[in-house]
Amino acid sequence: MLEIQNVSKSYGNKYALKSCQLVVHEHEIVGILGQNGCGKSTLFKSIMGLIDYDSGTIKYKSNVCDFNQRKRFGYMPEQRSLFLDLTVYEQLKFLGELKGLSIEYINKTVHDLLQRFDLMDKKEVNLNKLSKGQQQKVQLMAALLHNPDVLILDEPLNGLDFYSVQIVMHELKIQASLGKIILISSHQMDFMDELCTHLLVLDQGNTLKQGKLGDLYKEYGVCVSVNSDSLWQGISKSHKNMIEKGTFIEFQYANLSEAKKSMNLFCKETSISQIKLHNVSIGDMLRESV
Amino acid sequence: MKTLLKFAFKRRFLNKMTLILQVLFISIVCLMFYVDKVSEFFNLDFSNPIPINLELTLRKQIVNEDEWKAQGFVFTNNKDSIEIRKVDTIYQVTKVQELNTQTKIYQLLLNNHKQRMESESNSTVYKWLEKYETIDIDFVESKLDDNQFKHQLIIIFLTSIYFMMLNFIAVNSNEIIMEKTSHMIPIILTSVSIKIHFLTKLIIGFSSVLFQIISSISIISIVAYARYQLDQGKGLISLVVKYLPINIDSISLADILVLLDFKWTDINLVLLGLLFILLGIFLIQICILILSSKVKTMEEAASIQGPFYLILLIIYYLALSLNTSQSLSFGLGYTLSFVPVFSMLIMPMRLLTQHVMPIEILISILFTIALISLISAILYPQYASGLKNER
Repeated sequence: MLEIQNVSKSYGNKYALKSCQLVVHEHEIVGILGQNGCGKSTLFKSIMGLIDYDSGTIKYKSNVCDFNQRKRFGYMPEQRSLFLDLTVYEQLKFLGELKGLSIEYINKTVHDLLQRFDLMDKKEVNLNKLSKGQQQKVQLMAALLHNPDVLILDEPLNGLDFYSVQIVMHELKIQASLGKIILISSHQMDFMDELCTHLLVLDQGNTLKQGKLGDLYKEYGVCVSVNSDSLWQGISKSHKNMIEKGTFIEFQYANLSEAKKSMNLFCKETSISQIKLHNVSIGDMLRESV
Repeated sequence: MKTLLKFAFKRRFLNKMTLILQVLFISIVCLMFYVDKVSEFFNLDFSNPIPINLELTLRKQIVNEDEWKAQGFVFTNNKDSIEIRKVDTIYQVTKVQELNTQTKIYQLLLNNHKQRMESESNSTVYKWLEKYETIDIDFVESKLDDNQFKHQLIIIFLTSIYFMMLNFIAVNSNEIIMEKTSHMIPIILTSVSIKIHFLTKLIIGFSSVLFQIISSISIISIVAYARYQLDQGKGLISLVVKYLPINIDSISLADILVLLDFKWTDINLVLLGLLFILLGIFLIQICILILSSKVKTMEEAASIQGPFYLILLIIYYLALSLNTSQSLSFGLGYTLSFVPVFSMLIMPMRLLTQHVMPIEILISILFTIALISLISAILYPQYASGLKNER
C-alpha cells in the first residue's frame, strides 16, 4: 500500500501541491488528472524523492519511503529521458545495471519486453533513429525492467499511436493484475476511462476529486447518447446536461432510473438509429470538476 | 557506482572524437621528436635572420658578409629594416626597435673609456692613440647550467601537465550537464543516491585527468624511445642546442639523461609537484561540479567554465612572474605557496628553486585538503538541491 499523507509543495508563494492525500493498494491503477501545471508531476516527483516536499509523509508498506524502498519503484518521467546516442539494448542494459540487475536477468527481461512492446527488430537501433512513440515505449520498458512493485508513469501514452496505446494499456493491466500499484497521468481521457480503477483530480495543487472510478461514475450520473442527425429534440426532459459529441448527442442524467426512462422515450422515436447507455466520461468529469 | 563509472569512462574515452584527438596528439609528439628530419625533408630553415639595410659601397669596403650572416643578419634593400650609414666618421644605426643589454653595456663602457682617456694627459700622441684603441669588450654568453636546465625541464613538464589538465577540469561538469539536458538525472537518481552520484562524478573527473597524464606521458615516452632507437636523437639535440639557450655538449638523448643526472630527489620533486597540481585541479573540479548542478540550460552551461579557465591562466602567469628565488622566498610568492589553488604551481616552483621545509609542504597540502573538505561539506547540499527540485 502506498500512502500519501498531506503532502504539500510550494514554489515561492505558489502551491504546486497542497495537502495531497491518496492511498493506493495493490492491483489498483490510479489516474492522476488535471490541467497542465495542476501538480501531477510534482506529486510523482515527490513520491520518487526527486523533489523535497515541504510537509507531509509518503509511506510504502507502512514505512516512510526511503531511497532503498524507492528502488522498487519504476518511474517514467514526462520528458524524454534517454541517451539518444545509445541503442535500445545499451540504454536498457545501462539502466538495468544501475539498478543492480545481473546481465543474464537484463538480457532475458529485455528480450521479453522487446517482444511484448513489439520492438524486437529495434534492439540494436540507436534511439535517435526511433520515432517518438517508439522512444516512449523504450522508456516504459526501462521503468518495467526491474519488475517494480510500484509504477509511477507521467504521461506514458504521449506520442503513441492507437496500436501502441493498446499495447501499453494491455501491459499496464497485466502489471496491475500481478499486484502492482500503478499511478498514471495522461491527457488522453478515453484511454484513462478504460485503464484506471481510481482517479485523483488535481487543480492548481488542490485535490478536487478522488476515489474509485465506479463511485465517481455514480456521483456524476449516467449518460444516454443518440445519433445527432435524428429528431431527438424535445424528447428528454430530465437530463441535467447535454453535450454534442461528433455524430452523437449525449444526455447526462442524475441516476440510472432517469436515464432508463429517457432511453425508453428515445427508443420510440423512429429517426433515432443509434442509442447507447454509458457512464459519464472521465473527460467530462474533469471538465465539470475543474 | 561501478556501473556509472564504467558507463562514463566508456562514453568519454571510447568514441571517435577521442580517437581522433589521440591520433592528433601522437602526430604532434612525433613532429616534436622528429622536427629535424621533417625540416630536412621539407628543406625548412628555422633561423630568423635580422634584415639590415647597408649601403652597397660600405658593404664592399668593410663588411665581411659571412661573419654577419653567421651572427644571424641578412642584407637587404628594404627601407623598413635596420639601416646602417656612415656619416663622416660615425656609423649611424637607425630603426633599431630596442637596444639590447649587450649594446647598452658596450656603448656605456666605450663612452666611459673614451672620457677617461681624454681626461688623461699622455706623454705622446702615439701612446695615447694606442691606449685609446685597445678597448676590447668580450661578451661571454650566459647559458643555463646543468642543474638549472634540469629544473627548467621539470617546470616545463609540470606546466605542460597543468595545461593538459585545464582541458579536463570540466569533465565532471560536462557529465552533469549532459545528464541534465537529456533528462536522465531523475532516472539515474531513482537507482543511485545523490551522495554516490556526487562521489562518482568526482572520481570520473579526477580519473580522467590522471588517465590523460598517464596516456600522454606514455605516448611521449614511446615516441622518444623510438627516436632514441633510430639515431639516439642526434639531429634533434643539435637543432635544440642551436636554437635554445642550453649549454650542453651532449649529442644524444642518452647523453642528456646522463648529463641531467636525475636522482630520486628529482623524481620526488616531480611527484610532489604533480600532487600539488592534482590537488588544486581537484578543488577546482569540485567547485565547477557544484555549480554545474545548478545549470538549467545549455547557455548557462557554456558560461560556467570561462571564469575558471581565466583563474587558471592568471595562476599560470602569476607563477611565471614569481619564478625567481627572491620572489618565492619572501612576500607574495612565499604566501601564495600556502594558498590553495595558487599553491598548485607556486609551491612546485619553490620546491625546484629553493630548499622548502617539510613542514611547509605539509601545511600547504593540509590547507588544500581542508578547503576541499570544507567546500564539499558546505556546498554538497547545494549540489543535492541542484539535482533535485527540477520543476
